[in-house]
Amino acid sequence: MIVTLMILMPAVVGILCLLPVGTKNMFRTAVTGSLISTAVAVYCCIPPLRGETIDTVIWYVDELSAFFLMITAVISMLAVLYSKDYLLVEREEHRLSSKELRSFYFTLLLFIAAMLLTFAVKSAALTWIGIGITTLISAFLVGLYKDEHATEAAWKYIMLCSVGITLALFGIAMLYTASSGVIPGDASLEWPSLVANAANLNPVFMKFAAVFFIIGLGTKAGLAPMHYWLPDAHSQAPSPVSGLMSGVLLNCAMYGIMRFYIISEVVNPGFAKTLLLVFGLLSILVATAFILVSKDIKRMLAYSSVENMGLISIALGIGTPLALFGALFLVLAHSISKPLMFFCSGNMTQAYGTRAMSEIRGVTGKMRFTGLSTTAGALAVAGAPPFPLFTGELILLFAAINSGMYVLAGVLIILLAIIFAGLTRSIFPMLSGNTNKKVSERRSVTRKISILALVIGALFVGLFMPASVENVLLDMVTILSGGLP
Amino acid sequence: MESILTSNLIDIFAVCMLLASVLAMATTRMHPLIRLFLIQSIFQAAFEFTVAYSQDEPHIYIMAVMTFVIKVLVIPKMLYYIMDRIKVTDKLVLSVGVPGSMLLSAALIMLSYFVSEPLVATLATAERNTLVLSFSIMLISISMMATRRKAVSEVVGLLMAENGLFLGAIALSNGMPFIVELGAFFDVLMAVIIVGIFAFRINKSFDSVDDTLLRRMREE
Repeated sequence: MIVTLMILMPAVVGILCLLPVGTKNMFRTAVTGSLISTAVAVYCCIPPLRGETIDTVIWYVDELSAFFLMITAVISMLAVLYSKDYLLVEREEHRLSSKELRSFYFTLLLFIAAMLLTFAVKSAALTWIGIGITTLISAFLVGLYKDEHATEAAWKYIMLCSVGITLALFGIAMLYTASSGVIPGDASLEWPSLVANAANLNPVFMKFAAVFFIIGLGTKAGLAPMHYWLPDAHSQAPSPVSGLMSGVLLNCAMYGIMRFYIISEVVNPGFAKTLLLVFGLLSILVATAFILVSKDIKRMLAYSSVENMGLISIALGIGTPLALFGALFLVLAHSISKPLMFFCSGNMTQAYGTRAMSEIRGVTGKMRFTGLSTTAGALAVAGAPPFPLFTGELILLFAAINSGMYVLAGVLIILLAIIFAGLTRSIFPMLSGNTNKKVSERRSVTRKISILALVIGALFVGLFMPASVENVLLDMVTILSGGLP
Repeated sequence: MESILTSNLIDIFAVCMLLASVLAMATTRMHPLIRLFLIQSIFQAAFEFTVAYSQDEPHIYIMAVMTFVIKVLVIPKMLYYIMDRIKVTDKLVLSVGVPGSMLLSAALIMLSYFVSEPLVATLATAERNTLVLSFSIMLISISMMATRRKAVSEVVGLLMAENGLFLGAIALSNGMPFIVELGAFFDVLMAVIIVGIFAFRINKSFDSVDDTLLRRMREE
């Protein structure tokens, strides 16, 4: 019941935003609505995080789902908050009409509802449908500016992701074939019953299912070599949406992969792991190369997302409890630090009117708040202590060394060092220096709140690990390794 | 009600679907391409009808009807409408020529026999063939998306891949749960609608819907 409410809330608020009540009121509706729906989501997620799984006919929220739901709800609320002033500027500078603003909020909130749906459903089929819907809806957000670049990006996004989703559907068909003889009736595609009966599934079918499912959803998660849509889509979308797509949407596909990974590892131990290791390493290699040559700040950040997804899938690929802990920690770290950096870059690109990093100089002098928060964001995204990405990467490296993968650990250290150098080399020069352009900080409370919340969140996760959080993460590790918590 | 006749019919329809895909690789114009998709969908509907009849599965009858309505009647109409409105040149731009595409298709069909070898051992004969055909259709359609440089041809490639997928799903397990099938149809339909919207937009800001556009945005 509460789960239904949690998913319907954003959708209802989205519809309310379409009412013709003036731009100011629309902003108010969107912000208040998303605050309330996040409160509902958090309220809904607390019992599962304490270990009381919600298990009804359609919904299934255990700790793993609740973890992703929490991240989604909180980050999307901050994105809505940040988007308020961002879009106001776009409106004032006549890049968007007020009609487009309305449809933007409508789509954005529907998009959030679809993401929540993906994590809360019980059946693999519904998870797939959720991921499909997020693609269709977010294509409009990518193509919001109706210029040629945005349209191209949206086109590429919908085409490549549709292929990915088709392949994932074939994976589901295979999964269904493997399970329909073992699990009777409607339960044959439900995640909990699949896990419970995993040992009896046909291993050959499950191998095919794993290949199709991981390649298909890997496309959506931005794993190389299927990542071509990602830099375009993430750079062409408006900054709040970029943050949401990087920080949360990629998680949707990763969540699907994780759920499938649990089953696949019981049936064919090591098969999904190998696949994920290969794709993960490829992603990091590709990301390293492109981070070094990117000239556009949002494209560079998008490649950094490819890198992070690669790290998470490598962690899944190693698959020891420590590595799985690292995977979940990396999910959390990425979901906080990437939106932070995208929001900061949104401030800068709007003030300077360009995304080319060579044309942005002297941010700290002109925009004190943005300069400071970008410093934090850059360190967070590049993976410097005390930010959580550093801890996550460290856990991953330890896990690799502990399981005897010395070559992998060595390669990772080198690549991560190059990425760190590449990101900081491009971001820090923007902060210092001088510019002739007339730029100034926007006086906006909502922007500051959303950015500050992310900085504080990142610092908190990076520095402290309360026992309760640790227990939740450990329980999720148990779920990921195929047990019941 | 399974008889030699129905199992032969199932095979024939499935093979015809593959033929449509291979012919699509050989076309250099867009209108015939859409027509081939239409023909493939007719065969798919026929295939589903025969399976439904021989297995006595009511929900596959519904699928057959839905395939016919959506993929034979609605989507080709929409594609023609889009083509007419945006006034593109009918010619396709091939990055791999027709002979090359034919060789590629042949190679992909052999590849699908090769990869489905371990699966095939566990299946009955009729399912075996359809599964391999479904793999081939998917692979050929996706490679068609990769080697044809027009927006509409990419959409047709995607739709044909979806047809191949349904063929495989029905061959393996008499279709999937109804909700998945509904979702898949919805997904296809929405994708075509959205693609249509973007095609209009592209048409506004470019001279033609030319899919060099999918290859333009690269790092400089």
